[in-house]
Amino acid sequence: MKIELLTLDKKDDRFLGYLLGTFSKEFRAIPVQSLNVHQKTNQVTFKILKKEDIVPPFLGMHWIQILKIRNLIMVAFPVFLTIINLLSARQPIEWIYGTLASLGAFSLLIAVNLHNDYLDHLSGLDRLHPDSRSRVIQKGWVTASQMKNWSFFYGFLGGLLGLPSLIQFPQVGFVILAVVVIGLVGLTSYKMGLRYRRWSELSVFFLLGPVLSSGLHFSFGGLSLNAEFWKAIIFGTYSGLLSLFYLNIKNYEQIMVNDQARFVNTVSYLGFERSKWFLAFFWVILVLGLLVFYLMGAELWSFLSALVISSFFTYKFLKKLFRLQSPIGSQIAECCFTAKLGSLTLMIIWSLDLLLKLFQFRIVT
Amino acid sequence: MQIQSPDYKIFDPQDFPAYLPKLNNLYDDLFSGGKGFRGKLIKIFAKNLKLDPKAETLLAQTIEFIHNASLLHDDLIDRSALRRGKTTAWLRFTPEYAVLAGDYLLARVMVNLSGFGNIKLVQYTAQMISDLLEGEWLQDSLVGDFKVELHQLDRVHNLKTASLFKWCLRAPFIAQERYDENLHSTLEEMGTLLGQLFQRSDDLLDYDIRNYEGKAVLGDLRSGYINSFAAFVTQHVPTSEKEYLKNIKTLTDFKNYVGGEEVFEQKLKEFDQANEFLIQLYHHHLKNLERHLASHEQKLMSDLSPLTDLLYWRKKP
Repeated sequence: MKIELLTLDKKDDRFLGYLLGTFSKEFRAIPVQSLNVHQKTNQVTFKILKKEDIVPPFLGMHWIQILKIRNLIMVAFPVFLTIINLLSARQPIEWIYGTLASLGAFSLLIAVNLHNDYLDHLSGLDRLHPDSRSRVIQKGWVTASQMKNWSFFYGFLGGLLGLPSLIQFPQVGFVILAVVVIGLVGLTSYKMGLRYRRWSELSVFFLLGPVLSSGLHFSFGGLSLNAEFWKAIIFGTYSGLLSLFYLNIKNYEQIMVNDQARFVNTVSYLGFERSKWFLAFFWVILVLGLLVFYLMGAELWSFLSALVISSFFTYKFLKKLFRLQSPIGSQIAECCFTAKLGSLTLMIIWSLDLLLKLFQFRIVT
Repeated sequence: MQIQSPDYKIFDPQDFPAYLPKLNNLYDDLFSGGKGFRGKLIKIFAKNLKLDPKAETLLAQTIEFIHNASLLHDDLIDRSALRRGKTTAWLRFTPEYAVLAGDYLLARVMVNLSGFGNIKLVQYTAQMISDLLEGEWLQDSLVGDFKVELHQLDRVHNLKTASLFKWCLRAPFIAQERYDENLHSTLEEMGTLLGQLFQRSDDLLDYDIRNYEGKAVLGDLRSGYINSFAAFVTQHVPTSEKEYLKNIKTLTDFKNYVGGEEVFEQKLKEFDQANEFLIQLYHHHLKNLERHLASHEQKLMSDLSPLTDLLYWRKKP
């Protein structure tokens, strides 16, 4: 079956309409992937498909992919830590403000992800980079224009949901200022999605780490500069490091294409072999950090369980990592999957331990 | 003895030092076989673009030198015993001579091109050689990986195979100092597609599909390498079962592994269909090439059009 193809120069008046998907209500224009990552080009080839021929998944399941729901764990985890921290200290919790602020944080993360995908599409990166492309645009489920509008919607919603906390707890303003500064510098410095530049690593660490956790701490009614505030910063630092580790693993998985496209991030800078040591060291820091938290107040059996589970993942991950022979192929994908699963497991076992401690604490008192 | 790819004086013993033992014998062997397809592709462009005869010879020689250098190295890396029906250079002479002979061809390319005086051509050729070597390196790193996916292999083939085709399409224009970005972008995509189609067709031979020349089957699989067709056919096989591929010894075993003869034929149909899209894309880009050609160059279009039939379907011209 022949598919209609159209190549347009970027200077063509019609180009933006096709790229954004606003050229027609009946048709979608999907940019054809190119394998030539380092070739400069001013033209894009589109596949023109009838919208009625594009069948999205059943029951709107594609929205899970569009909104990248599984990434929300990067916010859910700090929310959980904040609540546990305040509950353990028997501090009164402002549930309404905290919940609204949490929903606001979720919305902002969705907005950033959508905007990244939109920028990737606009710059042509999604045609070159297999992982970057917002596959939802490639599949014709949404247009870039819709994605842009949704990102503005979620950004606005995030701001709106955070407003009550800002009014009630003015110190949240400092957090918002930090977010705005980091976000503006990161997003406006480059014309493409955030995660391909070195600045993105710092942004991810701060925005999903101590900045987020301090903002949540205040929004849930936590006081400034008390012991729980500093605990929130420490928890935030750890969750920021987890997010940063996840980002570096993703960058490592795409090291070949990133390097061909001349993206400079820590992993592409270090290269295939030296990055193994970097990632191994990073992972060990995460595991040791977790074990230190356990040492500070866990029961022996709980500590030993964490030690066994984290040792298991350490062994699996490091064995796969140092046996890697190729930056492409199934082995690197398996290794990175093990790392992601391992970091998720660290989150889960720590969360379970904190819940258990809280439960025991509540029973005793 | 002068070796001629049809219509071309590609290799003249005067090009190489006579005092180096066995070098000219090695090249006699190497250049006396082969279809010289890449050289012929240069001739198509030269005829239609009215390329200077010296430039034409230089380009044809360059691409054949680079291609044959890669074959010398490839055969040693793969420990192949035969090339074009003859004993491979590393076996007939020594591995050291095979490596050095390949290196010498590449060095000769640089000497000849730099004498031509077009620095962009030298730069582009150097980039192409670099891509070719990267592709070789990456392909070697995938030996033993039975779970590699088709889109990953495409990236390797774009470096290893397609880079030569891209060069054949772009170098004649660079030699004429025609550097329009859109022109080269179009040629780059066309070269990628030709390379992909050629590689995929070559990979089909390993499974005795359109194997008109009667090449040995399952060579790739037995060497521990999953080619593009195998990756396509096994993409729905559970990952845990893919390791079984290393035990497959015959074509019948492979067909049974994927689900039987019918399933195999169905997968072949789907593979051909997927490649039909690549062919369609190639012809789309070919049509776009038209606007970059002068009126007296338009015949290039009709000369380039049958290439997909030749390379993928293996239809004789």
